Amino acid sequence: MRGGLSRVTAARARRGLHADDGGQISALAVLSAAAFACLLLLVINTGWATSGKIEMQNAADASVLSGATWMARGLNIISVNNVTQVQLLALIIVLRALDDALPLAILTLEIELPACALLLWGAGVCAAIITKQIALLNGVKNVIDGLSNLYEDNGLLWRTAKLLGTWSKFIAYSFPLIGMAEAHRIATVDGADVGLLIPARLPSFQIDKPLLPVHEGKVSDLCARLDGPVSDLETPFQIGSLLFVNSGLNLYLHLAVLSNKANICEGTAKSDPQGPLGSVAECLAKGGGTAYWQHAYYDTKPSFSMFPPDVPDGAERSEKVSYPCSADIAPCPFGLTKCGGMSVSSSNQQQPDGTYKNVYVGHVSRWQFVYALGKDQPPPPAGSGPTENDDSPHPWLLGAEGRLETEQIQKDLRSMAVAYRRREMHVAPGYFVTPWGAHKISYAQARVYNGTAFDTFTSDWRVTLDRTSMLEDGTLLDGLRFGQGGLQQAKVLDKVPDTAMSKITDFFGAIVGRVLETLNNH
Amino acid sequence: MDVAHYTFLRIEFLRAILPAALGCAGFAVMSLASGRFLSACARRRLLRPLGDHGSSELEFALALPWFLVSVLVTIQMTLMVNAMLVVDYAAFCAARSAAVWLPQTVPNEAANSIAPPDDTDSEKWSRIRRAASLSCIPISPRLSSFAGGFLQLPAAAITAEQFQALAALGDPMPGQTISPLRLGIDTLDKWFYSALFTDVSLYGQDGMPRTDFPGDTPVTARVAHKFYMNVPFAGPLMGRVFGYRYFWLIGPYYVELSSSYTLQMAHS
Repeated sequence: MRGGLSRVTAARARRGLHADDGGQISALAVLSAAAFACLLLLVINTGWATSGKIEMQNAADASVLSGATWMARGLNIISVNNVTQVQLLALIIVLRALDDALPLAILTLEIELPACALLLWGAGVCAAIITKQIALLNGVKNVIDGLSNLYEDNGLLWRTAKLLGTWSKFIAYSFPLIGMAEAHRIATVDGADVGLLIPARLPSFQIDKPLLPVHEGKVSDLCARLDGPVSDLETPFQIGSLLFVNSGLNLYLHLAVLSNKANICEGTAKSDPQGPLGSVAECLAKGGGTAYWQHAYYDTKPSFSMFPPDVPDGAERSEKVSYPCSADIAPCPFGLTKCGGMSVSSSNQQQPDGTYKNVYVGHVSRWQFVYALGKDQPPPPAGSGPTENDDSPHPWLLGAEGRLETEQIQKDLRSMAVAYRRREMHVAPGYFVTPWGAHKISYAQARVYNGTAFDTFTSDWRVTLDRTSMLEDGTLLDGLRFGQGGLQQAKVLDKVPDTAMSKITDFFGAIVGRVLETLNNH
Repeated sequence: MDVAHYTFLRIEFLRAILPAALGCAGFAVMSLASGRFLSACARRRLLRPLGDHGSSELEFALALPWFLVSVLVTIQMTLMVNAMLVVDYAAFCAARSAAVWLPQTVPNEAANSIAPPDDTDSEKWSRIRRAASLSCIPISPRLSSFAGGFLQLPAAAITAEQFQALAALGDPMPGQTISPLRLGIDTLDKWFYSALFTDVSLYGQDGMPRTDFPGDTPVTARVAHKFYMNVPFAGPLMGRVFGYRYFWLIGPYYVELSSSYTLQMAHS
């Protein structure tokens, strides 16, 4: 009875269920709502993924730029140090030359003083002028004598120059490491978990070599800077008041040399190459050589373009110019290609036939550092140039481990940053993964360059983004290559012939390089 | 010029989208209204002696096609919006690539200049275009499915098993990681389309297309991707409104999605 009742109830319930048509649309609505939700998730997912990719790329860019900036910063400081070393050496030379020349100049004037009495007219004025000059030079001499602890052997200037070299060394070793730390910090600030800066020299890194592509130069490299006026900034006699000192010395030293009393080697480049005291080597052999004073005259051709030939009759003009030496004017002394501090004067002179002709006279004078350490040390052999001494200040120059070609140095000045982010930007991982994944890794390359001159005497080192050439030319893979290190060094592959090994590594290297080149999008 | 250029791009897109959106709304209203109207007629006149059994099924049957079409159109539109995001990213990649490649000196192309866009030997163009097409891979159809679409293969010709097998070829199942091999195959399969139908043009600081770019100036990359409208019914339907065909009167439809991005050029 109970069973029959329940059957009736169940049948009625089934009929009721079939008759109830509510919920058809709502089922459809639920399905479509689910579909729309999926679509919404897809769009949000893609938006997150693409913005995450851009974020990571920007993180890598910022990371590599900030890391490489520390390398540029290091090169700028090294450049300033090098230039300061040059200027300190120039100062030593000038002060020593003054120390030698001033007594001679005073002596010359004291000889001339009695000669004033022989003048028939203006003897008093002559004596007064010369007495005043003597007093003035004595004052300067006292100052120079008081500064002797600056320019003496191993004096303050010399020690400061050496200290600058040590500072440069510290920078060459430490700044790339600071850059690596900074790159990581910037990458984390920009949303990555890790930022790794890879300087181009890192794969072949040795602990006793700096990561900056620089090496310790010699003191002669500094002297070369003194010798060749590469730029106005570095030319010692262009340093403000030293120009005045130079012109003053020109007068007094010339007098002293003519009276054959100066401990200075002097020569003229064209008219009398040997000079009054013989060649430089002979002069040095005689014990001279505190500094080498060169005084050269050039007779320029009338076609000199700085002054047009239509100068009015009798007019005179003089102008200080920097003029490149060329064969048709005069050969540059000592292989220089540019003479600094050249003054040119021109005048119209009447010729015997009554016509006027422009005459131009160029006058070039400069210092040349030959022997900075002073007369207490033996002079160097002829042609050997400046002395090499470990106790000398050393500049830090571009190039490392013999890789001195500009192209190689430029390659060494690259850096690459890899930014890594652990978390994925996904609404529903696994459902809407695009084929390129979540972009957890991004990379960028930067290059340190100098906008003015490619040397460590010009502090204009900057950073720019670069195409990722380190990825394609094998720089990154060098450290991992079988042929150059790794397994071969570990004696694992000793039994494999080198030629076969190189063929295998070349083959796979070519494939890997090609794949990397194809997938590298910047 | 720049602002006008970008604004025009967006308006262009809106002008393409708006008719479709209005059309969808119209379809929805029409489907609702017609269903209501027909069922009311049936209820009132013809079928009154028989009761109202089945009227809701009729409503359902009448509304279903419209409903399905509107769902499909929504899917297609969502995929297009999705693709817009990816094309935005492609524009970023192209601009990033141009910013570092334009200042380079490569054979036949000096620093800060680039060959004409139709120069097929240009390394700079190939690099910049590759950056854009690599980014557009996720929204590109597989070569196989695109060719199928081109031949107008009916979807019903593929069984459910075959469809699942095809889908498994490229798309990871939930919780499944992508193997590098599958990723490689999938990438190649999609890259054909992406490389063919993604184009880049470069504009200088003045907003004009040019081949020489002064140093340290901004460069704008504009990426145009022909987005393949592959949703059944909705693709051809929307394509007829604002899309294009790959060839005259033949093949499936595409819509051109474009985006621009400006970056400062690197130093040469």
